[in-house]
Amino acid sequence: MSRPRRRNKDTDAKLDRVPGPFTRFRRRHLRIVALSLIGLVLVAASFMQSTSAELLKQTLDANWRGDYDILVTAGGSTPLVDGESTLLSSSALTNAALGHIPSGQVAQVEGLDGIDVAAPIGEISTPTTGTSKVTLIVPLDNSNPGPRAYRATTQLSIDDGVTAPRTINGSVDFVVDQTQWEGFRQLADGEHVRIRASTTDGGTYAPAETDPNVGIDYYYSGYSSPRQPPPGEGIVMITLPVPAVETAHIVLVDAEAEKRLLGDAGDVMDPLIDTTSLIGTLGTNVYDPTDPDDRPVDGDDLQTLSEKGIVSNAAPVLTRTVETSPSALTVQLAPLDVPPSTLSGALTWNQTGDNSMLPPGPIEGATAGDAQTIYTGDPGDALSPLTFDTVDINWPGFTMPEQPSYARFPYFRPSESNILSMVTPMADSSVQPTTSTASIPDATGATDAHGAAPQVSLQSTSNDAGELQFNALSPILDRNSQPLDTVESEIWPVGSFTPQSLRGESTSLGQVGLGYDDPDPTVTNGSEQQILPPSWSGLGLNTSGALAIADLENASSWHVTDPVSSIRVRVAGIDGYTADAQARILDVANRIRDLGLTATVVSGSSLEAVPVSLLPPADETQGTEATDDSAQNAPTPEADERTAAPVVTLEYSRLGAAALASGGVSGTNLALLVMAIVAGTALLVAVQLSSIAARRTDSVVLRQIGWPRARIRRWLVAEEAIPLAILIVVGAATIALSAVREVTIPMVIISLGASLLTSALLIQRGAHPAAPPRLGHDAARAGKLRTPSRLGLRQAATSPATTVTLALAFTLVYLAAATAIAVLLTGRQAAGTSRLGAFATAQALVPQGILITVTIVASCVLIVVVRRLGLERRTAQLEALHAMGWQRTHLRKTAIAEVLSSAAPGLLAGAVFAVIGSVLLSPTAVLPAAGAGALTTIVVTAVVVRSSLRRR
Amino acid sequence: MITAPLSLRDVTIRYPREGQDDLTIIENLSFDVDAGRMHCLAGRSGSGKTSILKATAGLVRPTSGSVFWSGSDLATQSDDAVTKFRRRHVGYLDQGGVLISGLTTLENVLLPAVPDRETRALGRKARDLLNRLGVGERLRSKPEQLSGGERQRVALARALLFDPGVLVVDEPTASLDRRSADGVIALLRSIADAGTAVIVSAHDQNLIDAADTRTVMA
Repeated sequence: MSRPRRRNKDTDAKLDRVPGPFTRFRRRHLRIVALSLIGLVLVAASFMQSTSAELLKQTLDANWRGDYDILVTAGGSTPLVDGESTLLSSSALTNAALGHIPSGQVAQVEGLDGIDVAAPIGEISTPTTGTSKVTLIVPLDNSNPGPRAYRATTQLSIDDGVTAPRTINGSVDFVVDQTQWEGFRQLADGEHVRIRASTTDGGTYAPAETDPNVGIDYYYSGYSSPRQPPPGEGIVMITLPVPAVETAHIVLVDAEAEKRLLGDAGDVMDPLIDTTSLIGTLGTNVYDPTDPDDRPVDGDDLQTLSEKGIVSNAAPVLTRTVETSPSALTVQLAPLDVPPSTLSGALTWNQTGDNSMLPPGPIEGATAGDAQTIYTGDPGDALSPLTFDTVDINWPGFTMPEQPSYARFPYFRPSESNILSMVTPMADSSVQPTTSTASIPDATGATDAHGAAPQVSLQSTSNDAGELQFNALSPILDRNSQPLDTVESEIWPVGSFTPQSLRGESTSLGQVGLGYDDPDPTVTNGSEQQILPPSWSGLGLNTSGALAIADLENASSWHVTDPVSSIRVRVAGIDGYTADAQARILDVANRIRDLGLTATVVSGSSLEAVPVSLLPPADETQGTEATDDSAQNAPTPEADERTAAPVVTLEYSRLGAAALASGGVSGTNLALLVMAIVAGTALLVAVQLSSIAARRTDSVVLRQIGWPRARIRRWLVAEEAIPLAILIVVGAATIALSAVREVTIPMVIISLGASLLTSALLIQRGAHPAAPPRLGHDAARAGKLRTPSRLGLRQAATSPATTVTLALAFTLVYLAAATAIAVLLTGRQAAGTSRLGAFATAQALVPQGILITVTIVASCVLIVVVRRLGLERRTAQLEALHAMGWQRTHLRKTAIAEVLSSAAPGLLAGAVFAVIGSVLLSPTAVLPAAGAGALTTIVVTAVVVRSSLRRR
Repeated sequence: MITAPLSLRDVTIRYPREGQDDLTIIENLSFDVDAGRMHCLAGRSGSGKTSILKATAGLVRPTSGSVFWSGSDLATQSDDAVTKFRRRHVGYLDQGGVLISGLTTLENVLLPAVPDRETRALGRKARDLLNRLGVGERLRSKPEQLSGGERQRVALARALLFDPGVLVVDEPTASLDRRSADGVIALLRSIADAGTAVIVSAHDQNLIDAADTRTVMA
């Protein structure tokens, strides 16, 4: 006999009691699930919104400023892109169309309070003629004094990988005549070198020794070298017709201010700062070839070369390091058979001092022999006028000793001027020339290529009375202490830069163009994007832009007045992206405007890709204009395969990008938050209403056992108090987590109010028993139940509260999916397509995506839960229908109709709200959003139908 | 050759149980129910009567053995084919007489006619059936407004809508008073006498005695 099971007194005590409101609430599973899901959605929405807002703030604080805040240009100028009120091109900073800011106003801007850095910038374009980048080294041949005639042909092919490859052909005939050459010897005054080396493109050449040291001595000493150069091998270096950049764009900056502007990257300016004192200096020394210490050594810096008298009137520059398009250079050499009479007639001595010259064009009557290829290769940076690289092609069988770099550096000749026009003899000719801070116009009235009067460098001294007087450097002496008519500025590289190295302290998101840091454009070729490298030939879509940076101090040497085209101003004391910071910047901008200048606020901008559709390059090249008819610009056979009219993508600064990003992202987050709160509230109210019928059934029983109505109401109030309390906690959490409490607080209050009203209705209605069900419709019309689908609709109609709840859940599914697509499509549009806008949008996608996913999942779970509530009833009905012969297809139709009675209105309501919302956000998102919502709702509906058909 | 409207041959029904041996409900059961005859499955609660009735109605496939309807083995046919046949030829009345809530009495009776869209054609017959079973006045009532006996009779009317050759009834008198139960027994007897093969399950002695043949479940 088994022992009776020991009874637990506590258990008995619990079982003997009627459960309290908390226990009763715990047993209402649907209510708990709905409350949990809705609470999760609300809290998640608020958390998402505040997280996204914090992320956005951090992003803006770190990225909203570039290296400067205000771009100052001349009064009345418009630096923005035509037709676009918020686009700024980096090239606009030095655009000549902006005009120039007078130096006095530059100083005024620099002296304004509240400015951290004021960095002026300008640009000049200077011809680079006279450069010899590709030369043919012709050794002198004493055994064959000649005259020897040859034809050199060149072919340069450039392929930037995007546009049609281009080929430029060149040809030059040249003659070397040693018939009167007596070897290297000391020349008498006025005597000319008795050797002729001339080309048909106007070149004439003097011989040079192969020994570089001797050559330097001979060259720098001119024709009156005190030394007797030893006899030996000599060469003539013929410049070949290879096109190269003929115009150098040189940006002018104040190197000290630029260094401060660039912050950590400012060290790149140090070489300019260190050599500023050499600008315009005519040299304190004259090269003494007898002094071994004056001999230049490879590796000597500019200061040393200047002290040695090798370099005079230096213009130090930073040159741009750039990866150019691949190119291929081929040089062929062919001997020319020219009738002697023709040759002698062609060559003429100009006894007045000019070297002999050949008439242009191929030598008449010449017959070319077999041509041999003497060079093939990629000239690379050698075609740049600002590098020491050259392509020196040795004569077949001859090897040129290596030359020091400075011996071959081709210098520029910015416009020369007659500077002796207004000078007066100096009282003391022993005074060494130095650069003066003063400059006065050339009284001759001559103007340079810029249309400005040339400046004269003067030395300032003071007399006994303390008055400043200016003495001209008269005469200006050359290296041989001979008077010079003109002074040439020698551009000399002292450092290099790349656009990437000049980033300053700004991030790539907030970066604004400095005026010389443009990256190479990209080109869309089909579906690919590739960088379009520049070409030193000057051809192609991407000319090389700013080649060098020099100090503004050079302006006077180059006869440029008021070289400053814009000033980049950084305001002091700015931290994060705040209203106060923006007000400070605006205040400085207004004070600049009060000076009569144009001030464009660029902080808060971000670079944006701008496609520019270009026509194919014209046939006329930027390179050397060939004098030879054989020179041509011939497209290669691959031309047809390449892009005919490529789309080049540049990057311009979008002003106000930070504000756009902030508004776009915040607006989207707010829309999602509002959607979640509204939908969650609607669902909650629906669940509450759906429980009224059950409460009324309970009330019938309670009334039957003798409970008065007031007691029943208290019973219901106690039950409703718990979910209300939970909602208050959820609401408080939603408000606490929200970053837009001015919106969240009223919405939460409205939600709680709606729930409270519904609870009151539930209590009031629930305390009254349900009226007896009315009889059905006329029996004669019973035949209306003709199809399985109608049974499904009838089933839905018997539980209206449940049907409405499900419809709301389907609406929420639709809205969440539609919103996801609308946010994806319009988020970037609202936030702008700048780098900052795209980043902020992408950053916000994560929290937004989490919220949308949570909302969709919560809605689906709610649908499943609501459906499961009627599972028992539905299962018994399904079995009964199956027992009476309803096949699976009929049962499916019934289930579909029942589910669709909720899903269809839910889809329709969702579509209406989604369309309205999408129209407000962006009309282009209407169709995709509506489509996504419909597709998601249909999928969820199918899943619900399938689950409804499962039978025990 | 099997000619009876309903025949069972060596039917065995076992239900799998997790972690235990299968529960054998029925083993090797065979019997025939001829037209015009009433066969009763008698036995205590839980003896497997409902399982056998579901197998005879094609609602459950036996573990082994065969169920024949007019000589046709149900095991050789698809569930859809069996269901379709059941709709027209087998009336099934489950224990308690489940009616679909939200539909009137008349609509519940017409439910078998819905798949074939014959509700209009059979409307009068449905009303006649309800009148004949004594619930003609409750045409527009909903199931929750009917008594237990009335629900039973409405479910019976539904099962008889297509004049089935076989009527399967599970415990038709289980929740009825004596008088109502005798009324149902008399009704089933008349249906059998009219030519329908009737198979019932019961532990009501009066119903067992009213049957022509019996199978006593252990």
